[in-house]
Amino acid sequence: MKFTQLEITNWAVYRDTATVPLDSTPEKPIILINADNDKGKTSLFYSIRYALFGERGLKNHPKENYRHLEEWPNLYSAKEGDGELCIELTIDYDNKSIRIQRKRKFFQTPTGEKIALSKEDEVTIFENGDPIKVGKDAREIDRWIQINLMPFDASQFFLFDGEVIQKYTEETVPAVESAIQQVLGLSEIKHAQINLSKLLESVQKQKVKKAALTTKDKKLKNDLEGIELELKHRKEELKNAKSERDSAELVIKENNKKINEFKDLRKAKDKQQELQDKVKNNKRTLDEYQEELKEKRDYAGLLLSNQLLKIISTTEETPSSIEQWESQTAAYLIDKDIKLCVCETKIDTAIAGKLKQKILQLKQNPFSNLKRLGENISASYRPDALDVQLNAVVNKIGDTEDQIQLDQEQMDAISKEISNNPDIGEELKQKEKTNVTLAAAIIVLDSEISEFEKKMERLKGQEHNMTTQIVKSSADDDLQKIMELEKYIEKTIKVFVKSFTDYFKIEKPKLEKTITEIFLNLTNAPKKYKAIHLTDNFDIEIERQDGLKFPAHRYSPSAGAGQIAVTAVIAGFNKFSTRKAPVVIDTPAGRLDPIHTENLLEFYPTMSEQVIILPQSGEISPDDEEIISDFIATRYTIQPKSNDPNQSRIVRDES
Amino acid sequence: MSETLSWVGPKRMKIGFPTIYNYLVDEEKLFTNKWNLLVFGMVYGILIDKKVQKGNRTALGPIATITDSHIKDMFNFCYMILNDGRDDKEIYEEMCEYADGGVEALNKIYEENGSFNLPSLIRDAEKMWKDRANDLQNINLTK
Repeated sequence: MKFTQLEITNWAVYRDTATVPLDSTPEKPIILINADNDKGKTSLFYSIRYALFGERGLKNHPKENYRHLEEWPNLYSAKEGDGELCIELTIDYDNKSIRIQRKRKFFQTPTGEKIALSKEDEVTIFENGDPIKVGKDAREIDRWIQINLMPFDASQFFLFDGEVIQKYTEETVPAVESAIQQVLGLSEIKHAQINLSKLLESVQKQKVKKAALTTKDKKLKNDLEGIELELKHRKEELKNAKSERDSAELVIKENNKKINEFKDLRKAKDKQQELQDKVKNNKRTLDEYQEELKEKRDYAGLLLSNQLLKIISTTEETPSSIEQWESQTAAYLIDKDIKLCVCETKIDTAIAGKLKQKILQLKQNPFSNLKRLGENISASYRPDALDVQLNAVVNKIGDTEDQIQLDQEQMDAISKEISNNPDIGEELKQKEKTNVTLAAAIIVLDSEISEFEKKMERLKGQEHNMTTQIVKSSADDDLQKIMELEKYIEKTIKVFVKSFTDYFKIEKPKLEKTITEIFLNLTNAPKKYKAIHLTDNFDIEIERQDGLKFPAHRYSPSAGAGQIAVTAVIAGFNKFSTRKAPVVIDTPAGRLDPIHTENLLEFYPTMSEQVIILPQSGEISPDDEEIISDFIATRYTIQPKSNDPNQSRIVRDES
Repeated sequence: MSETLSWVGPKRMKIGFPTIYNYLVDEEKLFTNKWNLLVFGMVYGILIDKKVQKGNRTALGPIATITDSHIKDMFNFCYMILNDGRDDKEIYEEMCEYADGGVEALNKIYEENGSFNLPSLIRDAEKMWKDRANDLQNINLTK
């Protein structure tokens, strides 16, 4: 099975019909669709999910509002008038071209309001171009799609958002168990087993009824009827007890959900308090630093002049004696070509008077005084050391201010997060009390249920013995046939149960081996890990080299690492799946580091016979794209329309 | 050891921008007192060669009464740099002009950035002094 074309109209940013041929071959399985943020990449991804599963296909969108169809019609179309959104997905399946056409009418709605929609989707299935009837309404057609093309629960292993899938490492998602059974082809066995059990029950009822009618032994007949009545009564009791137990469990679950939410809220509040204290302390520290800085600033003039003092200190000292002055003055005169005034470097006595004046003037030059003062200043205040201290204080202030800002931002984020969650305080205590009471009630109910079941077993045993007694003494053919049928159904059920268990016993290790191989290929730390296991509840468990096993959520503190573990599991299921389907991945490397991204890209071409990848700009670097370039059949870019930036178009990259 | 301010006499130091002093010292509390800002401004004014001539200045106080040796040293330092044989009164007047010029420039930096980036001012001073020392003809560094 592979997708061959997608056609989108009036869907999100695609107002005019956008047609995307999805050409790929087994040798070149990848279709790459690039886009910047907010251009319609995720909308395209969800259009495929909507085409296959209707509004239900939108349910795993990370944002709550986009899980509803009224968010998806093109806003501008809806603003201008009534219209219709339409997605057509063409699929090559079993040598046939199947086209799913799913439409929904929307009504004129001013922008900003929720768009009003018609009651249900109009879904038509075309086979080789002609419409075929596969069900009388949208629900039946959806069922046909799930049985024949892709089961909904299993779709999370084929059409997924790279950033969202890591949730499987954090919790057991109920649909995962059913999805796994679906992809492994086990759901058919399970369904058959359930149907056979129902049949067995009905046959057994008929058997008792027939036996009671056949026997001439009045006492036996009465006893049988009595047991039948008691069984009915017990069954009712059992049903009530079970329903009561389910209700209690449901309330506990709901309460626990609230309690956990509240505990998270408490944690957030504690964290907020902790941050508040930290900010307060840091502000106090900052004040101290500011005071320290103020003191250093008092020496600012000194620090500014220090540079000049350094220059002066490297300059030669002014001569101190008259002779030195004369000698230097002579040198000065020579330098200035006033040779007549010089006699063997001794100044002519004729100009001594004039020179005396000059020397006196030179003596008044404050250079030596300044130098002496500079030396004193350096010795007293050590401007170099002050400079270092000043820098240290300024750096400390900068770091403290940054820390305060960071903590403040974190506090703001927490405030925003907790502003929507009321503090339930007392209500929480009540809920915890209720849970304790309910848990005790469940224990009682469990023992009651077990008692009822035992009683019913006993009654059934008595009933069986009586019916066998009647059958033995009866020559009634119908009764004999019913007995044979009963035995046959019982045996068949056993076979199905055994095959289901055996399948897991035999296939699960193989599946785990495949998943492990893929995981070790994908992770950036293959030496650290030994294997991936699936628990009986289908939780993902990671085994480290030292043999320690722990749940994947403990392995994956980061979303990226979680994504890798889950991708390995998904890929493993894909390889084992009895259903071969295309894989469509939105934001494939969103939170991954470069090594994980490279590993993942090397792996994608082998993941399925058709792999549609929707990265955002920059998510896959040109070097990384080189890794998959030999496997890319078609490249598309989603761009804003030149005449309308609110609309997007999908352009085939011919290079 | 600080020099005696022999050149001072009964002179009172005067400032041209008392509002800036009030703002930076009293309100923003960047310096412990106005004298510290004054000497900082004076050195900065000489360094960047910025003088402001003002007719009516406000007296800050008699220079002779300064006891802080650091401030005294800086006064002497500036006096010696500017002393080229002129009359002390002229040098004193020029010191006031440089102080006003420097304080005004620092205030502008503070208003624009919300702080003095003192470390970078100090770093820049080295190169500036090299050029500036040649302009101050009295400091004969060309030997």
